[in-house]
Amino acid sequence: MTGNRSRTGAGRMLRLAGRYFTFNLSASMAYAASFIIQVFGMALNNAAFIVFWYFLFQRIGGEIAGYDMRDVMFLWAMTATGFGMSVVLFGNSQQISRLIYHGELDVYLLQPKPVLPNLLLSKTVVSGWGDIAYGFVLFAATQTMTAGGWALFLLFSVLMAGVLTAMRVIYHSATFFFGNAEDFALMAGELTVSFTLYPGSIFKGPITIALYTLIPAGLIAYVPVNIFRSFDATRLLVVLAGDAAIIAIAALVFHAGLRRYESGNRIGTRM
Amino acid sequence: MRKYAVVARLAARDQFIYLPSYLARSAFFVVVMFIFYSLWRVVYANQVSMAGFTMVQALWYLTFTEAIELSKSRIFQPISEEVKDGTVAYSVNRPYSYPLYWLTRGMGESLVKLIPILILGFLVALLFVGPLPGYARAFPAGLLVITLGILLGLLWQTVIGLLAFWFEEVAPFYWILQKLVFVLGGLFIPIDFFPEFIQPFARYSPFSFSAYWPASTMVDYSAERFLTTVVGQVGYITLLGFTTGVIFRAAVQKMHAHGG
Repeated sequence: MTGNRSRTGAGRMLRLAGRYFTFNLSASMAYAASFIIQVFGMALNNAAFIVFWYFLFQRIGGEIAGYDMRDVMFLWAMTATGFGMSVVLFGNSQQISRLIYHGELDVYLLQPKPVLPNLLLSKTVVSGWGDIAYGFVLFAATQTMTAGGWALFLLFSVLMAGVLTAMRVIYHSATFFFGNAEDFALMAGELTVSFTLYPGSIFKGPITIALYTLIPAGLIAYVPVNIFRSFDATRLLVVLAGDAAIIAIAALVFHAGLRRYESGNRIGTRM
Repeated sequence: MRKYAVVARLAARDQFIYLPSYLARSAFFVVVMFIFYSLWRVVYANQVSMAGFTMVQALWYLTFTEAIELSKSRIFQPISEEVKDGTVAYSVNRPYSYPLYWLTRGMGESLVKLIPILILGFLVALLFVGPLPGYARAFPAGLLVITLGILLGLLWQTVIGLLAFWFEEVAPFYWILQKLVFVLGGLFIPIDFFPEFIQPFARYSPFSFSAYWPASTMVDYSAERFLTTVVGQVGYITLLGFTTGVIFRAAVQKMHAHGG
């Protein structure tokens, strides 16, 4: 019975995600020119960094702390795709603080859907499509094409999307406990992404502890690069368990914070 | 000119109110510095100098390019908004030059943001790699070329803002400009690190005078480098100033054509 119930719950959740995805996509496409400009703009934005790394590797030659150009490009492809998926699917994860301190969570609390997924899924960030497109093209252009390679790339990108979203939920939930933490949350979210874009082995000392806990770039980027270079099932299981733990913690922290939430008594509509 | 000085002073005074929040956001700058310190520590592990830059110079270089980039006020946004919502029709009738108003206002705001970010960069670089040799000698000339670098960036933004008369969305032009400064201007790494074939083009492109030239004047000061920087900046400022005037006049004509 429990199994059936959870399957039904998961099915409903997927249907909800599918509906939001279709709705958000069609809303974005209503302004086709703006959609295309934003997608290309973001792809161009990311492409500038390839030039930076190309120039640097040309100058240095070989490797930087065990990473060659292809490894760095894998980091970029995976992070761009994961980040893009995260903001396309869970676009509201960047707005949680604002929704909390403006008392705008009421809308989600009143609807017959689980609060956190409903909240996260209800908005999309169009430029995220540019990140996804860039990530796929970069992966295809810089890595050896094998089915296993693609499978790992997609898996790690999806996991990164999940963890980046979860970390944003944790950071923004600080607003429930300490007042408006929007600036902190936005900066912490950017920090996590920034650290995933550089070779993990350049960081030494106490920061490495933070990179596997508070800013889990190690778990979502550095270990996956190692697994991609040399497959290791045990490490993959550790990554999966670590990512699942972060997502579970995010849900717990959000719901703990939700108990402290006070309605803004604000009347609003979702168009 | 007095009225523009007043505009700059008022904009600077307003900007002081937002300074604490700006400084809080600047924590990200410290992180970028830390990442590059970690990167340069590995890159310079087996060499004292690369393309003529020591590790100390490479990290200090970043503090100056980032100071220019981060302190620049984004004036293309209010300009394009005024064009889109029609406010510009009233603004152009006021007793001042519309582009000069935004330039001076942008300079006032940017200079208030520049000083704390230079101080922050000074402290962080000092902590990570120690003092920059020749800092005190280069500082007066460096401050002048950093200021001119900001002015050059604001002129680009004025042009981009005015493009709203012809394009509905101008932000992508700003993104492209940012990337050109990043790639060709030497925002993260000095142009001397680039492959030989691209160096001459990058070195004398207008984008390098908003990043590479002012920052390299600070980290590797010489009278010759300072003069090259000033001459290049003044040349490009004149050229862009002229372009801004032409575009603005064309925009005003277009506004009349639509009847306001």
